[in-house]
Amino acid sequence: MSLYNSTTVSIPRLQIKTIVLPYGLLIRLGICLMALSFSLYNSIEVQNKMTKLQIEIPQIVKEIQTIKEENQRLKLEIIRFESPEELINHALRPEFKHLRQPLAKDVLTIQVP
Amino acid sequence: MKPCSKDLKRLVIVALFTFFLFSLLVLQFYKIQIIEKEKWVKIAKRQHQLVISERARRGLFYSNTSIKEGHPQAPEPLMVDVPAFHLYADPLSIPEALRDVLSTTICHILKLPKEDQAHIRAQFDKKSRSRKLALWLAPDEKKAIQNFFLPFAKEHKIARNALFFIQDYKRSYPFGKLLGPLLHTVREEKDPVTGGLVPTGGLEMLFNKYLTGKDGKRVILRSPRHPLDTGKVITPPENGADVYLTINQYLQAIAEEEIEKAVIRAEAKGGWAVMMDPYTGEVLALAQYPFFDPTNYRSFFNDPKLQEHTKIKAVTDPFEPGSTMKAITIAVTMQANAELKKEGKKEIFSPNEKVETRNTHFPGRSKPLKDLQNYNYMNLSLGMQKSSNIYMARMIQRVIDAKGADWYRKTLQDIFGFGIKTGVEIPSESVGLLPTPGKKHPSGALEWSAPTPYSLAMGHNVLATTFQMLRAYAIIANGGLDVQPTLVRKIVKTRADGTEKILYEHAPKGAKQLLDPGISRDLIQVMKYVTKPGGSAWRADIPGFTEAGKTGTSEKIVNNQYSKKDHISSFVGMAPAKNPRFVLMIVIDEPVKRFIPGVGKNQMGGVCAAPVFRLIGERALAYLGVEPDDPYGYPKGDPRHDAKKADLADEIQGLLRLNQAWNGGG
Repeated sequence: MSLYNSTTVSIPRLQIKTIVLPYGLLIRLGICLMALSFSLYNSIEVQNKMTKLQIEIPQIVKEIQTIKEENQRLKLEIIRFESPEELINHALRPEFKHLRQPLAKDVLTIQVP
Repeated sequence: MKPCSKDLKRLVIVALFTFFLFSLLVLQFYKIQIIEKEKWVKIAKRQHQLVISERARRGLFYSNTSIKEGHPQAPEPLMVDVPAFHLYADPLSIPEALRDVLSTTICHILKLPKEDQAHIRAQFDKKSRSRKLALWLAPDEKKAIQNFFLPFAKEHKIARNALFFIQDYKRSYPFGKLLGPLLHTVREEKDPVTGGLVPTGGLEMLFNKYLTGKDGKRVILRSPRHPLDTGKVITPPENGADVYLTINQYLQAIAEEEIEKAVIRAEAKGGWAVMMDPYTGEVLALAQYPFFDPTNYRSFFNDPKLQEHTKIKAVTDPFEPGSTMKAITIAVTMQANAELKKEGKKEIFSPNEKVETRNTHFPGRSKPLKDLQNYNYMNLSLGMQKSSNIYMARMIQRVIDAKGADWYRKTLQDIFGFGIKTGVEIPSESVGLLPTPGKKHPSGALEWSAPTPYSLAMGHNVLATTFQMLRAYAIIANGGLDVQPTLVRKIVKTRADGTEKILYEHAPKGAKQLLDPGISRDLIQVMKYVTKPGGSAWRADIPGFTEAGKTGTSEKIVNNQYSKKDHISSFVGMAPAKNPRFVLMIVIDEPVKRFIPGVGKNQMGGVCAAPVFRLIGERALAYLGVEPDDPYGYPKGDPRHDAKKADLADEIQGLLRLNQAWNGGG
């Protein structure tokens, strides 16, 4: 006894026809696929570069911050060095004693157009 | 085979049920995505994003670098905001066993005193996620702590952010104490409610609303694994506006140096010097000694004795001006003369008139007036040069007789600004005191009685601030034009894109003519004798320049009584006498009372204040590049000295001869 009820199924006969694609179309498809692959590769490359840059951003921000802080510190040092009190003390030193403040009439001011 | 109707029915039910479920799902999506969008977006943002505030920079004060002709210079900041860090701990993420080591090492790195070490250790035992350990650390200190802590955290497997820093900006003063009492500073502790900076006083307090910026907002991702985004600024910070002052840092340094020396020399309690441009009213220097160092503000505010050094006494402390008022008395007399002439009436005085000064009695006064010496006769030049009380009182007696007391008071107030604030941008400006007829003092005594005008004539019974006196002298110096003392040139706000917006700019408008230019010219001419040989302030004579001014010495009022021991000595003058570059007032508070052989009484304005005018004036004029207008007016011994060609040489000799003839004196 068969486990299954036997039924007769008629399978239509397949008629396989060979389709011959023209070479031109194949070439075009190939070019398209290549262009697509290239664009995809390029896009991924760009994404990678951007990711790399994004990873670098916090480090650069930190560096900029450090430079800014150093810049501010140096600026403070310069202002401190050029403070009036310092300059007055410098002016009293023997090597600068010959220096005099110029009279306003002796200063030639040139207007740059 | 055909499906049976029962199966079909079941299929339809299942399909409908599925459709119903999908519909519910769609409806739920609609509810979440459309109806409750805002709510869910908010929750999502709260979960994934963190909004932190983007600190706005507090505005700065800049000095005036454009007063020197032909020397263009970039604006110079009087303070710089340098980054500083606050150290915090998250005690809950630090195991108990490590707290001692951490606390001790931090204290060692920061070199904290023993009393602070116990406080730091106690913070680690608090049940909190954020405890303040140390404030205002320098970048080096931050780095030192990080260098220790990060390897320590790795070794003991504790969170890297168990110790963390919050960045802030600290006011630093590259010029140290320069201009300290005027600028003041901001407290180290912020306002607990607003989180804003709290000014300690001075210009920081007065311009706080301009200096304070508006913090911005930055969104950062709450994702420790993906530190790709450093944050997006959603609201850019608005920096505070910068205030450009009229004060020049070099003139200020000169004034501070000289006033310090003068106070020490006179063994005085203190002193101050204010220099102003008489035409624009711009204050060029405002020095005060003892100094107030803003970086050390706590010690000044914690000590009641030092607290008074934190205020600008040139506006807060009025005093009896004494003889410096005599120039105003003569100006009032000249003004009365001019008005009487206009009205077609008889003039009350002439500068060359020989006025008798032997009679020292005046109506209403119980005691006769006194001069330093007895003089028989005087004219205007002698009266001013010798600073005669009697001559001045005699002039005012004529003014009162001709124009009345109300006119006299009105002139002092309306033209010279006594009894009203000058409006200079300094907090707590005193109005001073100009007596009013009919008004009573708190003691019940009348402010104005019969002898009051004679007292006013020599600068008694009136209280004036240094700025009121300076403004009055500036009016004389600039040819009689009204002038408003000011400390601010402009207030500028710099936008995020770098463009500037001017919020305020000082532009002197067409000034009102308060005094006739002729009166101003004559008065300056007379005041020039004061600084020449025979004058009370010959020590104020600036070599190579002409100058005009007047000394003043008055007794201080202590416990509502004139003190015989404590004096206020002053000198106010201008240089050069023609087209003055500045008016300068020197005040020495409580110089020690003693006689210096060969010099005179130490407490007199001509001895302790006048030389400071010369010293500051000489250096200031050289700095400004002003050409000497008295090329022979140098002291004896200087190769440029020529007594015959010096300014007023003949007039001085004439005046000496006149004094000899009238009073028998030199």
